[in-house]
Amino acid sequence: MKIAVMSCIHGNYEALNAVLSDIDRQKADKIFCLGDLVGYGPHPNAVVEMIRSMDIPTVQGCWDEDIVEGLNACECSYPSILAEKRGKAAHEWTNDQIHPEVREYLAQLPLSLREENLCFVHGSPHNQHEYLMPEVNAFTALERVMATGADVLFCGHTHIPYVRTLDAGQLAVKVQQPEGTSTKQFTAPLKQIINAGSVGEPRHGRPNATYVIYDTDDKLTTLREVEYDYQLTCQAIIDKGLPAIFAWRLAQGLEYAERAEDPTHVCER
Amino acid sequence: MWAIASGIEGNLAAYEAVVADLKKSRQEVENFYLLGDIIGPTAESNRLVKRIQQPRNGEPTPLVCQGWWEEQILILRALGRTGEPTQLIDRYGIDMTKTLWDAIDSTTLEWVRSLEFGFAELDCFLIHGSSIDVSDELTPTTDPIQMLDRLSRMEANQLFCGRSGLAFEYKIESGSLTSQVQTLDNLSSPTPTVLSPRRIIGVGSVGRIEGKASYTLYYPGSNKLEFKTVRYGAKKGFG
Amino acid sequence: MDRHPIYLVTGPCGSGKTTWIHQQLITSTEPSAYICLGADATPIDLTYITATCPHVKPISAGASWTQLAEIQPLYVEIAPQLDLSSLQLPVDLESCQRIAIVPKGLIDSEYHDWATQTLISEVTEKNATLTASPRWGLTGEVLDPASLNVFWDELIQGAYGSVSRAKGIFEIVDGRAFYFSFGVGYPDVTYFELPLPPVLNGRPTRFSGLEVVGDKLQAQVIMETLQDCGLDDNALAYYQEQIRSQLSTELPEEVLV
Repeated sequence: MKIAVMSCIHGNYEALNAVLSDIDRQKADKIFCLGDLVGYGPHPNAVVEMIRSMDIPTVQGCWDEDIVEGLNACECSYPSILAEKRGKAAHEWTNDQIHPEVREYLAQLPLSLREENLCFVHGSPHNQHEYLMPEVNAFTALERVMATGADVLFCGHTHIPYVRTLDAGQLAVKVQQPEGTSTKQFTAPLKQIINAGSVGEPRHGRPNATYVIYDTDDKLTTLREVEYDYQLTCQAIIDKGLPAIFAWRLAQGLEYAERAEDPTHVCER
Repeated sequence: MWAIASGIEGNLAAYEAVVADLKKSRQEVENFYLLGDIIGPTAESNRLVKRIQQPRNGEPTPLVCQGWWEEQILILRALGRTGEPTQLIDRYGIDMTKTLWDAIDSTTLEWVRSLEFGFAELDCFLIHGSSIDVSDELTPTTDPIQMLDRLSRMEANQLFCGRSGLAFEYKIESGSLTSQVQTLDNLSSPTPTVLSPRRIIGVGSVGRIEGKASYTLYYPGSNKLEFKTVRYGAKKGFG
Repeated sequence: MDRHPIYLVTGPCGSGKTTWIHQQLITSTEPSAYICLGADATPIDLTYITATCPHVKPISAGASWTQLAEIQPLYVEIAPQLDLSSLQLPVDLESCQRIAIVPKGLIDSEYHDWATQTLISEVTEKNATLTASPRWGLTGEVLDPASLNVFWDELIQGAYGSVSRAKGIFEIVDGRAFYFSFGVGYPDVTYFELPLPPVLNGRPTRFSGLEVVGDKLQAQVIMETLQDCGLDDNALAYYQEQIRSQLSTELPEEVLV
């Protein structure tokens, strides 16, 4: 079976349409979505309505949560004062625009989904705000997959797609207790983290939308990069009164806000 | 030499037994850590806290961090990081909320509020549960990959903890893993990660088992560990 | 080049005048003096040169010319806003080395006519301008470094108009001041710390500011974004208090020098 996994649409309806058309052409059997349907972009309601109308299984992202719960993120979730000011401006705008039924839909989204040996989360299994960067320590990455009990972990949140294959994991452990000593060998079979990138807010240096196709039979992943008329989204950002810098950043493939300096930092609150 | 203990749970006699045992030692105790669960749901906890705050002549001054019981009283008094005492009720029933509330006086509460979350010293981290949560219970049977995660979150080679109440040394002697990353523009060659040895130490429990207090000695110079058990009270010699 | 006691340096905006003067000054240890004529409001160049070359005596533009004669060599940077033909100097022009720094491609100009020596910089003609470049005074503003990095990257990549040259002095929250420089054809130095005493008690009173050479610059947006990078009084007081208490617990030799 071919599945398509997408993430981080961020109210970019043009990009979503382009990705859905591409998924159609790739003949995927099923689509999953890893959250962050809204935030920053100009069409939050239209994006959610499209996802709902297609019955796409979706997990909740951090932006979806913030729109539902109110902005309760603490300062540390913003990498800079500038990012905080821009993030709050985007949050306020989205919060004003969003329809009640859209808010209800976002509220009931699960934090993770399972399908056989595949697991789907927004950030990481432990926290939807945690960034699983491709350079995270390999054992840490392995722990994130193992924590789900799945073999393949799909995540988003970083806005740059990648496939990380973790193989030949071995640990030798010796436990000493007053009652005696025991040793054990731990081996991990092949595990993968597949990051779906971002449909509406790419960060790989080009404005194109990204998502992934995964074939459950041959276990192959294809990273897809889809061109679309991003200028339409840029214009809508300006027309709707969102900060113009979002349009410029989208056109550069720079994402709307920069990422935290220590992306593994997670607020304890 | 460091002495590291946890889980007194308001058991004053057990604490006295440990302090007396330390006094007998020929080596000086440089650091004396109490890794949480100092109090329990008893009024005796208040006397124990006073005792800890006033070490007698020649006794080391303990460095104390919060444990699970300390977190529960903070939650009950609306001073905690989460709102609801769910863990307390799940574990001990609803009546325990009143028992604990009544047991801990305001002086003790103030002291609990002032405690640290944990200690970083040399390549060690010392904490009640783990870096994730005070209730995170690491045991001799915890999955090694999970143990490794707890160590790396603290960037420590040695993690001393007390939530399980068990005394153990869990040593990850070696490890290896191959990682390969494919991005839109690049496919890296498989990169091996090799792990240097590191360990998690359960320091035992002073007060959980009546008549039998256990704690841990650590010698930073030689990196050696010693698990100590002290029998005390009426059942001495038979426990 | 023959040693002349007084160098008059001119050229279009963004052509590399300060860079050339700085190169002369930084490679020498002899007492020298520097003055920039026509740029009093945002003395970025003066601050930069005096902070990085302690042997150079800064002379404010209002100083009397008798002071100028005291230390030589003297480098006089002449801003392009000043009209060279009507420039009145109390020294004999003939006794000075007159240097024009001109961009590549600029062949015939008033600078060529006026100078005794013309140096061609790496900057191309389209990246230098004959008109005055916009400046923003920021004295008293203390910026969050992470925000400043984002703003600077956006600025030099063209988010606020096309930029060929930008230089600025910024105060950041830990009390240090940084010199930021970007230019097409300039050495690839993004920023460095100025050797100035840290300010950890309230807002700094020393100069900071930004100057940009470019096309279709969104001056208002640049100013607003810079303000969005700044700390308010409460935040500044909080961080300064933290830094002070951190410094007081450190060993004296580890304190910022």
